[in-house]
Amino acid sequence: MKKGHTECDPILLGRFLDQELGPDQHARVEKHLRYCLSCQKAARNQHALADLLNTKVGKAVSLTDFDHLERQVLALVRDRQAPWWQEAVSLIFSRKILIPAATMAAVLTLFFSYPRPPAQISGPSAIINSFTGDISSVMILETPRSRQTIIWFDETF
Amino acid sequence: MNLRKHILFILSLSLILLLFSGPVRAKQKISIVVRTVLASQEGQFTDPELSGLIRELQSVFKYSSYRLLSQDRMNLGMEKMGTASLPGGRLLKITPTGIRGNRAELRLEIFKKNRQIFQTVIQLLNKGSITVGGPQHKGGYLLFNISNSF
Repeated sequence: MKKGHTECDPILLGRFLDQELGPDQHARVEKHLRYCLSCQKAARNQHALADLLNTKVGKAVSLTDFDHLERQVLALVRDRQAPWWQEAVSLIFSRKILIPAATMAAVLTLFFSYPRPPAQISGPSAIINSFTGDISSVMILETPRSRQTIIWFDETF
Repeated sequence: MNLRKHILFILSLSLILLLFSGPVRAKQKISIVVRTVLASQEGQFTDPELSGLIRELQSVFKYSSYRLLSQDRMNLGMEKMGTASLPGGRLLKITPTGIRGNRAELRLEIFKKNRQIFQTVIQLLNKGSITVGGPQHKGGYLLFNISNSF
């Protein structure tokens, strides 16, 4: 806008064309446009550009298959998502599960590593770990049925 | 309960398990019975108290008479020695030295007139027995049946 009543201001002109100005500013720019040829030309150009865009975009929108576009976007999102097994692994190794699991494993290890008598042991009634003595002979026997251990020795004196 | 409380609970439980399981085993006592039997070929006799034992021993021995001469009971802690007097000036010393699973580890020593005849270390099954025999006595042979339970 040329200097006179008001100066040329392309931003103010743009806001005027977009109907964004208040009543006072709107009236001032409107008054300026009546005698400023360059601003009139700029306004015409902007109108022409807006019309062109509206026509082209409107046509493009009317030709667009939005359902197909949505399907394509969703497929793209699915492709970029991690596979289920990767999500499962990350869940298992999350601290929320890993810490209680490790604690439970430690407790179970402690509990089961403590020596406890087995429910049933097959074998002889007695196991001879060592035998020393002043004897002429010794025999270690086992009864056939219930595997009772017998030590039979001969005294030397 | 949140995660921290869960972990605290599990750790407390394991601590309680440790506290209550260890000392009980350390203070455990072993009940031991020593039965002295005279086995011979003189007559046909089986002491009624020995019927179960003799039924088993007869698969190995061919004696016709089994007489119970004495029976000694003792309740021994770990490393505590018990003694049983045996015929012919013999002495049996028994010392529990530990428990391994379902077996008690026992040290057995037989003395005759203060002289050690033999020493053995055995692992005896809980509620099981061992028979030690061989010394001659009054025309027969002595059998010492040692049973335990814990």
